[in-house]
Amino acid sequence: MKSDSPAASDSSDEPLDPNWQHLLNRFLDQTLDAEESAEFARRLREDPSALALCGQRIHFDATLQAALGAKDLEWEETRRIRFNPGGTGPLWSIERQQEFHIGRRRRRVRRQLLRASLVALGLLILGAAAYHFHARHRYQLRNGDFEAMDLSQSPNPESLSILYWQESFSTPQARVLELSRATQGELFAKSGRNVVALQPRAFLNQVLVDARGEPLAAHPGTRVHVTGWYHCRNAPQSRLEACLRFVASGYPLAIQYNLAVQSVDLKDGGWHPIHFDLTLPTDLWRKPDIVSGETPHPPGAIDLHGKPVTLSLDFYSESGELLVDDLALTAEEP
Amino acid sequence: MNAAGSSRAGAGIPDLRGGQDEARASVELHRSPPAESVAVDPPHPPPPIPSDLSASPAAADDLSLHHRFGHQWEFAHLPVRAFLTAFLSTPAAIDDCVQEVALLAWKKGPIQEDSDRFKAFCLACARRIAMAEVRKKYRRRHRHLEIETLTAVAEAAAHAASAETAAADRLRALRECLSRLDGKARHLLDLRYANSDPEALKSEAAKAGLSVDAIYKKLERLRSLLRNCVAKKLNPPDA
Repeated sequence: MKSDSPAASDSSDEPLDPNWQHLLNRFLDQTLDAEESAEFARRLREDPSALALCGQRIHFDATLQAALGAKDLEWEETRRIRFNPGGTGPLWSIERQQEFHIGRRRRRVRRQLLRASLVALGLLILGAAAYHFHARHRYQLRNGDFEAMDLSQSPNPESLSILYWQESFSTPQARVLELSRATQGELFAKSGRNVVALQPRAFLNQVLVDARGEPLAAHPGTRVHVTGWYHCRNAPQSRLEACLRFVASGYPLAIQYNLAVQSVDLKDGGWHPIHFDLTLPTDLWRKPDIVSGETPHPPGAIDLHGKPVTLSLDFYSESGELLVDDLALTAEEP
Repeated sequence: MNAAGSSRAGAGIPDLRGGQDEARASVELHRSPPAESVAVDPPHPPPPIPSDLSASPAAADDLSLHHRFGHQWEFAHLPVRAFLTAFLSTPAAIDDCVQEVALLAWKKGPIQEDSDRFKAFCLACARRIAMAEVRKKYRRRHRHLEIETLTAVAEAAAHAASAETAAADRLRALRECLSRLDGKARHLLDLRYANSDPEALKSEAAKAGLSVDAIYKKLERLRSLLRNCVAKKLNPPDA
């Protein structure tokens, strides 16, 4: 084994002044007070061998750190190779990222990942709870602007499919129109491109649901406010009726119970606003208002409390056409 | 370039799927700062990626560079640590700065040159980093000593470490000596050198019902014991 040079060795055989020994150890342990520091500095200034010995002791201390701390030096390299035929840059590119660190990175990363995961989970739970409580009872109309179907993809500017508005019943007298194209630029939708066009006695109907998809349940005092725009074309003396209903069954035996009804007379020509305010009554025991079809057992009165509520918009006119756009709804439960 | 999947093999475009080692690249990689992007615009069709890393001369050079760095750092890390120990107060602070020096040495150090030049580069980095740390009072080791005194001590420590001709042997000997200590002694050394909590020794003193001075006295005796043990291992007495 090679022997160390005298300057580098810290021979334990060399007797040391106990005071200097003490000061050296106090320096290593960072416990020199002001007086001791002054003495320490004086010794170093006046005795070059003291400085060399101090250096050796620190060297040993550093070796002790390395032996006890045993921190790994890890070098981690990641490479990402991209093949990008469609881009404007180079066809191939290689990115390289390197990182050095001391300590067991995997354990640190696991701890960091675990911590980050717990935080993310906590945030997710909070967000889900916030969404749950916020979305609950926040009722809105689906496809109220009738833009859900993109008619620009069709050579035909109209369609009999009115998404979300034909849930219980449908009629060929109602259709969605890309208005400017259908009227060759004569008329334009109130917003977007599409409107619904209702022929006389045509209707729209939609089950009212909240942001989570839960239906609005009938309760006494529930208020529903409906807004929108209409345009009557050649339909004098016409009216639009809004109704909150419970649809017990559809065709061929349609049974419906009215909860609240409101009707407005319509003005012919031009766009006009729609306002409906419907409030459910206190007494929700009702007989069916509409029974279409033959039945040997006519349905009786039932308690509508808790039943899902459907909004129905019915156009009553002898002629002409009603255009409707931008329908919106708010509901207040008691 | 036809990017359709089925034509890839026909055009000689390599298949990078199937969990192949991402290090397989025929592009020469240069030591570089993190996240360097090496843009390659190969002729059509692009060259295949070799299946064996050692088959690529560029990749083999890259490995040898890493080996070279490891070798250089093996001789430089103790002088760097010794230098920083004179200035800094906690093992964590020392480790942080050693890591910083290692990163700089990897990015910009003269890895391919002789070990003295590499070590000199590392110590120069350590000096700059230590001066920056000393300005942060909470990291400074000795509030009552002048910067010049600390610098002189640090340089002496680095010189002592640099003059070491059997660093690996010394480290090995020290580990053997440590393994012969009893549990309490080893625990005390761990608290002093491997624990990031600066109050660990005070807590230990309180737990043991001793004064802090008594704990430091124990440490003093342990260091002396270990120095003697290492010296005997490295320079065994004649029979």
